[in-house]
Amino acid sequence: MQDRFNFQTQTEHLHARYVGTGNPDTPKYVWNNHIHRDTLASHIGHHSRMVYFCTAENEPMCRLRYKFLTKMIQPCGPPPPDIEKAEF
Amino acid sequence: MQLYSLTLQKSTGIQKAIYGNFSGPKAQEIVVSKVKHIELLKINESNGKLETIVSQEVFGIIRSIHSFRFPGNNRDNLVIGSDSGRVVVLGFDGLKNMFVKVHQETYGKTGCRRIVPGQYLACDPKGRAFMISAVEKHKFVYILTRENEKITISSPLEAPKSHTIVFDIVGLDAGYDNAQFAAIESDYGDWQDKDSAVCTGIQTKFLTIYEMDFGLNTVRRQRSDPIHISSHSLLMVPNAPDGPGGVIVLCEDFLHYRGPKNQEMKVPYPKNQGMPTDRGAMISSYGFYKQKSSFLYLLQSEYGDLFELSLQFTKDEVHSIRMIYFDTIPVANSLCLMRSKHLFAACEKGNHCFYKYQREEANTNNIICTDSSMALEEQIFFKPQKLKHLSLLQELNNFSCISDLKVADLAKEGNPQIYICCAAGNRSTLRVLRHGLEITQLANTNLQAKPLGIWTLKERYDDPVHKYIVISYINKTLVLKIGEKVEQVHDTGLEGTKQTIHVGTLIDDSQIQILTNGYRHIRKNKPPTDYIVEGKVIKGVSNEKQVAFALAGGDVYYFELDTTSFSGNLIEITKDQMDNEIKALELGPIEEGRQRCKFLCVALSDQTIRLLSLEPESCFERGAMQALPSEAESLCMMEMASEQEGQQSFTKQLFLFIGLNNGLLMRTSVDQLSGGLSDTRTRYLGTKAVKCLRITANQQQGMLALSSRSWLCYNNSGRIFMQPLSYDYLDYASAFLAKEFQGIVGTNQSTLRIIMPERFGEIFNQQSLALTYSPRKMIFHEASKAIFIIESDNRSYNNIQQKVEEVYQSQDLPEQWNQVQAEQYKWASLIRIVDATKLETINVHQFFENQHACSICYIQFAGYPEQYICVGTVKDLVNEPSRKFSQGFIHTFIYDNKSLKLKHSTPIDEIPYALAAWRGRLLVGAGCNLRVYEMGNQRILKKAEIKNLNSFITSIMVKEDRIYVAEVADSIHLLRYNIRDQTFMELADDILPRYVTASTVLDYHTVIAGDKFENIFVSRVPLDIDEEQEEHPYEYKMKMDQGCMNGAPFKMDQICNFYVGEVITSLQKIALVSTSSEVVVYGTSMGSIAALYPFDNKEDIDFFLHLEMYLRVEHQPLSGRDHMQFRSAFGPCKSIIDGDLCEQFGNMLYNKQRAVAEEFDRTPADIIKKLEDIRNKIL
Repeated sequence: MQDRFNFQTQTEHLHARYVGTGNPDTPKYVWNNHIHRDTLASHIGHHSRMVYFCTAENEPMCRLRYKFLTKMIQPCGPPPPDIEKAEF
Repeated sequence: MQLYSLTLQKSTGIQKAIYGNFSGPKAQEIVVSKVKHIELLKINESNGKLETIVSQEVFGIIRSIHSFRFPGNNRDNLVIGSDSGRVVVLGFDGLKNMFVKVHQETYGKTGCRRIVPGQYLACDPKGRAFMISAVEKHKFVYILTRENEKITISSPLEAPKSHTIVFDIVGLDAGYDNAQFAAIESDYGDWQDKDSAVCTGIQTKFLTIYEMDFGLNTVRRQRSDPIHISSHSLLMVPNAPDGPGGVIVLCEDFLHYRGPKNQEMKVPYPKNQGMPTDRGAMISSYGFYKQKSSFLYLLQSEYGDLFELSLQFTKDEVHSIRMIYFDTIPVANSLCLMRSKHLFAACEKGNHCFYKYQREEANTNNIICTDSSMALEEQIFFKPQKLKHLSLLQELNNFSCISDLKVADLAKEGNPQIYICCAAGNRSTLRVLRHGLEITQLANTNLQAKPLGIWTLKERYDDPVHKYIVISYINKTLVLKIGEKVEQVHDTGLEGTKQTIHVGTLIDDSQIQILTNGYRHIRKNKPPTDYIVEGKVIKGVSNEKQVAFALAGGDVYYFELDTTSFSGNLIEITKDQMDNEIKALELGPIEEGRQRCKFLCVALSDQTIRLLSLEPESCFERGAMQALPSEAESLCMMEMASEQEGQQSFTKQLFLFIGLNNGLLMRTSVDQLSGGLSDTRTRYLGTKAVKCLRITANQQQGMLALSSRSWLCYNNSGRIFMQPLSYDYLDYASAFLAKEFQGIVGTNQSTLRIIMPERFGEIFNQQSLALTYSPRKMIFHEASKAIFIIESDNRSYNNIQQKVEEVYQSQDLPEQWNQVQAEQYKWASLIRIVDATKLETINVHQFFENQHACSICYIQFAGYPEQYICVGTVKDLVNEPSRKFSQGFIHTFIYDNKSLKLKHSTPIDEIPYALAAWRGRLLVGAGCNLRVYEMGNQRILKKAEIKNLNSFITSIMVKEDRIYVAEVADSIHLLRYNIRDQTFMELADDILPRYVTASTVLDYHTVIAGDKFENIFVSRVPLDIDEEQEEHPYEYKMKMDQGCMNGAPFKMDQICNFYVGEVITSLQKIALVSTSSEVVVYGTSMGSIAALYPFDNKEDIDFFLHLEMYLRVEHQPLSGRDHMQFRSAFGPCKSIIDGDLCEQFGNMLYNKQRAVAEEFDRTPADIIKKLEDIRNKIL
């Protein structure tokens, strides 16, 4: 009993500390959102990749960075109506 | 396979530039972060140019960098946010001439992650605290304190807020009150909450002020106010007594000021007439400069226009804010306003610019400005003007982003050139890089015959310039006087009717001329003295006081200038007979405070060199001897700053250079006291026998070696460089000092050349050709020495000049950086033919109707005699939110070695992103399908196809019967064509879904590729798959039809993997020097060029593996990242040794070097030699 309780608090702690940690009941939409946000954040963090995208799009970097940051808010559009059911 | 990775050209793109005083108080310097290394730039006082003082590898990814000045300090420090999960405070150590870690603190996981801080940095303007923030959620505040004269930081104070994206943070000026930080935050909320932004899609942004309470040692959110949705950056406003305090929020098309007492003001930006109609202007960068009583902001919009921002205020109340149009320069990542009235713009695309800044007080009627009294809807338009306040002083090279790189000897120079496409919108260029120093030719005149030697003479020994050029022929000697013009003279006293062996000036301003039968000594106001010997003089040498010559047969005569009796006579000291023929003679320079050079160096025909002592008591006593691999041709002894001591001190070391007749140059260190020879290094220079001589280069002593190529060995900021000259070969040469320059005079066949080397310290010299749009791909046609480039840009017009005139309604517009921009996804593209020898455009063919050219290939269609160039284009391409287009085209052009003639255009239903010639047919990567086309009269004809590969095809490589296909998100697939039923079979694929950006085939089984996540990897197909398949044909036929593990029946093995840290955009397997072995050369998006060298013996692998291992421990990366982890960022580092880390050995302290070298039972010099050897094998 003690162990199970401990495990519970540990996972909760993990979830609170590391955004994006999932569990078996994580809906696909939420998982997708996390993946997209992680990817976008990684793009923003790697300057050389940003240069690569800027060249492809012929956009200034400030514009592209702003676009990526904005996209992080709703990366996969609004949640589907049957979000709980849409599992993997 | 084991590879050695070495950067040849460090990255040139700048991520961020910061102005400050780092090396000392009032030193005006700029620190630039180039992601993987940081550099310190300083203005050279003598020529006013910006120069790199230090360049230091970081072995990590810098995400943010900020300077701060600790209270009471007179120098700035740096704080770095990187991928190491640590915050590092750096200081500049002037003694060691490098950045050193002052403090390092671990706070989180490694990597550029979403919730690990490091993306944003903000410092309190008073230098008491700084905030480090992640893109989402986490923010830490560190307090800076002093402990025993050292800066340390406190444990972090957290200020997290979940579901919050941070757009920017800034440290506010709160005087000496509690420190404040402002952040633009946007909350996306919980997906379970129906009103959150992630559900509704309605975004809100808040300006949140964090207060760091020094008394309570806590951080709290002081307030959070809604701001405009387009807010993207923050600016700090100085507080009392210099300014009103507060913060400026930069939004699209306007800025918003918030004072400390909630005062609010909004100012629209003036608008460029050429702005696209579908969006406003964002501010891309700003420069801030604070003087004692005033401050200045320079804001740059994303179209390149600069605005001066000025605030009118009394105490903490602002009356009005004005934005004045200033000038237009290329879009910059960072702007640095310097106290010396310079502006450094670290440009995003194209060369970085360095300007002189002169604030012209224009009359108020003429200026274009907006102010806070205007309504936001009000628009003030302006036309970009010629630079009015700025004048361009210098451009610093920037290759970023290299979109294609190819190496070939198109110009037929004997050594290949590197051609790079620098993609930068309207600042795009094609550049040709040659390994070697840039040379300016000052004169090229014909002589009557081929000379046998050339020297320059000074009138007096200590003259700074040369006055005469002496040219020797087989039976006469020509003396030219250098004045207004160069003319022949006869009054110098030099013998003109015989061949000259050597000419020199002695310290008493007399001249010595060694002839075939003796010497002539010419003194001022005295008749020349002749000394005649029996026999034929073949070699002669002199320095300030000593003269020696050698006869055929091995006799050596040695003379000294009599300085004691003031007679000025040359006294014969001794003569001796050597056992062998003498091949070369050399006297070193006389050390300061000494009477003579202690050694005469003699090269003999028995393939040895000997040092003969010249001390009076032991004259001509045989000293050290060294055996040579071949006969020597020439000798040169000189002092140079030794590199063994690295950067700690510039001790001089006496070197003996030995040019051999097989084209090798040897460099041996000479012990000044004992005359011992040690530490010999060898380098192959060219096919001809090497002549080496002393010259002045880069204001110091240098050595020029002549072979089939001329090489210059010189010293630049404490390091010895050995570089070829990018010039014709020279037969004979001599140093040539004139008032304006330090050059070289030499002969090439029967011509006289005067040349001047330039840009010391740069490995490559370059030529460039301006392009219209960003180059995408290039191919070579070696027979006609032509380069084909496809260029294409989003947001561009086809007839750009016409459009510019139309928009600005003016005919004579200045050359503007920011030409008129079109709407999103309006493409303009063209194909250009460039003559590689002259580097000029021969022919251009534009693609109209919104086409984006994306692929090109040269092909000889089966059954058609003409040469064809095929170009794939796509019409109406939209990349976002999902890829859309209306039609793809394959245009076929007939190429007649001069121009292109369109034969036909074939519309296809997919994007033809990859083309390749294959057995007289055209392979097309059309979307996710691979097709084969044959030539037809009206169009090209589809013959075979494999549909629905895993993802979009980006390149096709053919190796014999194998077809390697690189896909945008699914690594590399190996296909084979089945002739009988005209189908493709997928033989092998990769186990990782890599996002391939560049790839090339190494051999029949192996491919090397770079991916979007900055890795480079080598994949190998199992060697036995052909036999395997033949043995069990039906089994594999079935596997191929049905698929095995959702893929091909065979899987490639990944044999090498390495994290480069920059996106690789092009790869090629080629030898960079015609005589060396093949390497893999790659170019990256940050503008760096690097090579991978395959080791050819186990011993070297073992050595470098161990060196890398020791250096990982001894040379801890500057950003606090673990080197092994860095090189394994996305996948474990495998079979590639980091040469850049190994080369750090030369930068370590000498005792550390010795400690590491002892582990190998070697000396530090041995290790440096080994590093040098491998570098020379590559380039």
